[in-house]
Amino acid sequence: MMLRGGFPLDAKADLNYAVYGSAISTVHNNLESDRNFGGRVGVFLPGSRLELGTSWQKLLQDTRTNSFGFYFAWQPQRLPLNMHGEYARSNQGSGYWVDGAYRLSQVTYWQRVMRRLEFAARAEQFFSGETSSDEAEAIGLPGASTREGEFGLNYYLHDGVKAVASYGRQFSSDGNSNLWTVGITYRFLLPLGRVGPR
Amino acid sequence: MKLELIVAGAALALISALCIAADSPHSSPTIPVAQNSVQADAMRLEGEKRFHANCGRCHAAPQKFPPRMIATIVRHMRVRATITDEDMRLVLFYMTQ
Repeated sequence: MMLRGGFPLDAKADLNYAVYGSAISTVHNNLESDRNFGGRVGVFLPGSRLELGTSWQKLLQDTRTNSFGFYFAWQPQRLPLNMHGEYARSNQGSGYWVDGAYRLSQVTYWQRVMRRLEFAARAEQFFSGETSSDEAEAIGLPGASTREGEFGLNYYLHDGVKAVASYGRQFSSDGNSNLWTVGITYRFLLPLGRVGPR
Repeated sequence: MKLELIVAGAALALISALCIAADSPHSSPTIPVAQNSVQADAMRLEGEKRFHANCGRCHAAPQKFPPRMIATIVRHMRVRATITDEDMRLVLFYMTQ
């Protein structure tokens, strides 16, 4: 069960929040969950288009551990730049990631192509926690402390269709590796009702 | 452990009930009405500003939908994006007028 919403703190800041509690579920098909309680609170400054927030979760079973995190999102008014970052910590490990995407719409030549092109870069680091490497990998975490840097290009074929290509390098005590990604992402809005004037 | 869960559930239910009670006069997002054309222009401009500050962080303006459908979409997006009630109403005005 989750309660979430937002309200203005004053003319220059909005506060958004989420509070939730989850019962234990052993139903398969992605419906498994632990018993936990947590929340998130963020402050959004519309003038500078900056959001800062923090989150917390308490596991109400087994190890009864706490986990917490901080995040930010920033889209400056004058630049087509989109920045996000997060730091999180629990007994399973800690880590951070920062990514940025710069739309080349301000480049004055090849406008037809450049306004659809976006340069993206990402850096992340994970520090292993108390769990063994096998346990960590079973829940989707790296088996050892890991560093990773990645950069790529996104090309917006249409507002909802984006071609992506990126290269990254991962450094880990388990071995270093290259990460190549090529793909197309599609986001759509499908009206279930009749579309037309009412 | 059960007690903690019961207390947490009760607290959530209480907060939900308080919020629903406080929000009840506006539970259905109606398109705000401008008193005159000057106010309508100001609301449209403010709505556009709020759209770019909130919705534009993740997506461009969607294709044209009928006002009733837009009202439903905006209501859903208010929950997803945790925008304020005032922002929702101004964005709705901007999207429909």
